[in-house]
Amino acid sequence: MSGIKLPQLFIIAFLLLMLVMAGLLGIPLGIVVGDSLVRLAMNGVLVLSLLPMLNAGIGINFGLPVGICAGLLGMCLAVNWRGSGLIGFVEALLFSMPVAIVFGTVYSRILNRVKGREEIAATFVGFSFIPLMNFFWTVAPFGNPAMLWPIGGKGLRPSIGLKSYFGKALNDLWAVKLHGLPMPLGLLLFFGLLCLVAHLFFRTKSGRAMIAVGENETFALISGVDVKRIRAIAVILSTIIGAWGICVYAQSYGFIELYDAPMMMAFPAASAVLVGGSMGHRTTILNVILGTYLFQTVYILSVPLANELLVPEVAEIIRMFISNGIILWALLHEGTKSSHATV
Amino acid sequence: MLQVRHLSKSFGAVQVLKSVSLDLAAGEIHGLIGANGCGKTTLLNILFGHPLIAATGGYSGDLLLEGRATRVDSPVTALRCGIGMIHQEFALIPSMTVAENIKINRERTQPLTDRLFGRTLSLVHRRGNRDDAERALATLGVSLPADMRVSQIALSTKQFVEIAREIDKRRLQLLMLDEPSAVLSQSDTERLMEALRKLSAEGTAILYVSHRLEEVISLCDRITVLREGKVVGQWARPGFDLRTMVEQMSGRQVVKARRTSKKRAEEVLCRIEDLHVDKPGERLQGLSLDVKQGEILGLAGLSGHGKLAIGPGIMGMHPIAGRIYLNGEQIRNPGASIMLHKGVCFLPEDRTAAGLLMDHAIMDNIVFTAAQVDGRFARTRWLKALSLLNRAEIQRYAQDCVDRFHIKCRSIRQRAAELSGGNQQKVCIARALAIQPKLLIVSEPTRGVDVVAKEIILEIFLELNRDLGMTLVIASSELDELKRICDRIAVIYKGRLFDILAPDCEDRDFTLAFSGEWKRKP
Repeated sequence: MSGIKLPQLFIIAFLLLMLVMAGLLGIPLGIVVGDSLVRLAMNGVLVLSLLPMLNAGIGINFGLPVGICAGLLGMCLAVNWRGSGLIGFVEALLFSMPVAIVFGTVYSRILNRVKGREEIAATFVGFSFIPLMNFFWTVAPFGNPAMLWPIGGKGLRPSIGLKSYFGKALNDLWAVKLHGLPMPLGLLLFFGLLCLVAHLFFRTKSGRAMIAVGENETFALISGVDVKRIRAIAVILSTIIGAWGICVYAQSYGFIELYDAPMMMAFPAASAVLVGGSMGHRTTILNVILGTYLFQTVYILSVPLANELLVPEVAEIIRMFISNGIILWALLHEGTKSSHATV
Repeated sequence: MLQVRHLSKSFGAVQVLKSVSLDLAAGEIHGLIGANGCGKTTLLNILFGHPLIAATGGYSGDLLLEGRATRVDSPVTALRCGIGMIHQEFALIPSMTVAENIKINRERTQPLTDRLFGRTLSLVHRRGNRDDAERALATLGVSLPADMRVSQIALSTKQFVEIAREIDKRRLQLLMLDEPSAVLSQSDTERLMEALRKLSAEGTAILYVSHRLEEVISLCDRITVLREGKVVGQWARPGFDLRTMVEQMSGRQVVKARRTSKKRAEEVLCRIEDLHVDKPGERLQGLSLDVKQGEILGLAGLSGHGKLAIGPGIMGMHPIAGRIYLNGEQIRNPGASIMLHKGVCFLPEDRTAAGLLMDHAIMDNIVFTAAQVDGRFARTRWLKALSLLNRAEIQRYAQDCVDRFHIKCRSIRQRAAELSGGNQQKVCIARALAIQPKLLIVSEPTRGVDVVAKEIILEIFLELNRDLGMTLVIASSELDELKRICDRIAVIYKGRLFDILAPDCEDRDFTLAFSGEWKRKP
């Protein structure tokens, strides 16, 4: 079990320091805490989607845009038929699932061919998939005028407002205030439920097989596990959860962002899981939740702090620095682990 | 030449070496023996300046080289001191030639370009390197074209290339070998020992670590016995006493496992016809063999002739051709899944790479195959693939196995990587038993296992055969062990069945059969 280790303690300490400073500078902490919970659940599902592929030894799913596009397509279908509120959101989840299965199957075929170099191959699958989808977005025969370019009436808009559809459907579900702290109970519950299902999945026979494939393929093979099939299942699961992840994200954000928007979305998710202490195969739900929370909270705290302490423009620079720096740092940390492996 | 004084080393809370002292004279062959986990490898790693030692807090005690206190803190220092080491795993680059591997970082260069560009940018003198390499190999009694790629040469030859690399170093004073004969056949081992004797006659001290005591006794001038990090005995030739040494190593007496009752079964359980397996370095080319119900069949032969290819082949690890029948029924498209369902289980020779999930708990390892194949330990009767596993039942079963096979561990939750070789092998056996196989194929069950654990493992095989009627096929390089427990021993030669010998045949007959020369008496 990999849980809280030194690097995680370091980040937690850094976070506490930031909280103290935010308190001293008069930044309202209640809002920050409420925000951090929303962002945990909003991004958490995307981070969770990395889990099956990590545990199957395929590595970080840098091809997350594939799953995201499946989710976007599902949501577009839901909006097209004017699904609204919670029902609209569930429709989006349901529509995106078959799409994700189809995309995931093709994606898994590719990844099974490039064994050993999956991460870089996945990155480029993601990058090259986006132009393909861009083409699709411009010609797709959607009929709801709210989604189309206002002039000409053909092709989808880069961002589609969800306000009259299922924007905030989960965020507002059972949103309560506890002692002045806003608590998005519905959103947290949905995320928690997905985590629980994923956790239980890895305790089933199939989940065990997946972890075994990740740790030692030869062992799995002679134990009668169909390695290629398990890897394909892991990729498909990652793609489905990724599709759902973008649905959760979009309803919270309030917009469906099409075209090039998914291009870089794999990277913050990857940083989050690495911050959580993921060590390649053997990544747990705890790594996912802890990582997402720490990463997102550092993120939302750094901006007001930077604005207060430094010039306002620096906030964006700090954001980029933190999200990419954390990937590098976590990869460095992972590297030292393997080079100090015991004999 | 080398004096080791009160060497101690701890990994965290575990002290693996406790004040070890030993002396080595120039030209002496010194044997180092002890059970698994007694600290032999750690001692060698300290002498070689393995980075792991420094990373885990260094060591205490003194090393005196030629009377001067020395601190070997990195392999580079070791090299400068004239200490060379042959590791258990090969450290060769497969895509480079033999000569390039031997001369790596010490290449001969063209004198002209030396002068023009300096040593580091000078052109490599290929013929000079090849001659050097071939000369070094010739000292070992190996003739091999040095411009072959390492990936193309046999496993046993690689071992000689490693040694050639070490002796090619001009100032080699101490050569350390960690289990060099583990991958070698009997005749190759003899060649190796001949080479080592020659080397020591030229004044190089040799520190030799091996589990094969007969080898150590016939080769070494002096022997140090380690147990649990302490020196428990030091012997000098003559006056070696094998039995006392074994007792010192294990701290108790060892009873050798031996088959007592032998039965002649005639019913064929598994028939193999014209089997070809494309396992690199161990090819099978048309093997036909009958495995009879309830017997223990040994597979013997020199390394590289294919005795280790049967199990991996029928489990689908390598491409195969040929026919396999189980109880008279032909198995089409053999692979791990169908074989396991039919009750055939295979334990690979390489436990760490293929036999165990090293990062998993013992109990997870034991139940893994059964859970995958039979859906055992599932909580529900339907949709077993997605059913949660029954932890309580798993723990009970794993604890049973630990007790039954005397697996030495802190708890069933301990990671498999933390166990010694013998105990890992027992976990492998327990894992196979959970699917209640009818036929168990084992490759090199005692490789890297100490004398005590070895006998326990052999005894377990005998028990399974006697009490459960299980049929066993054991491929092993340890002929002596096969002779003690098998009903029949099949000799594999050049990828085919050469002959089947009775276990009470003379060693001489086996040696002849191994080289394809023995003829059955009419």
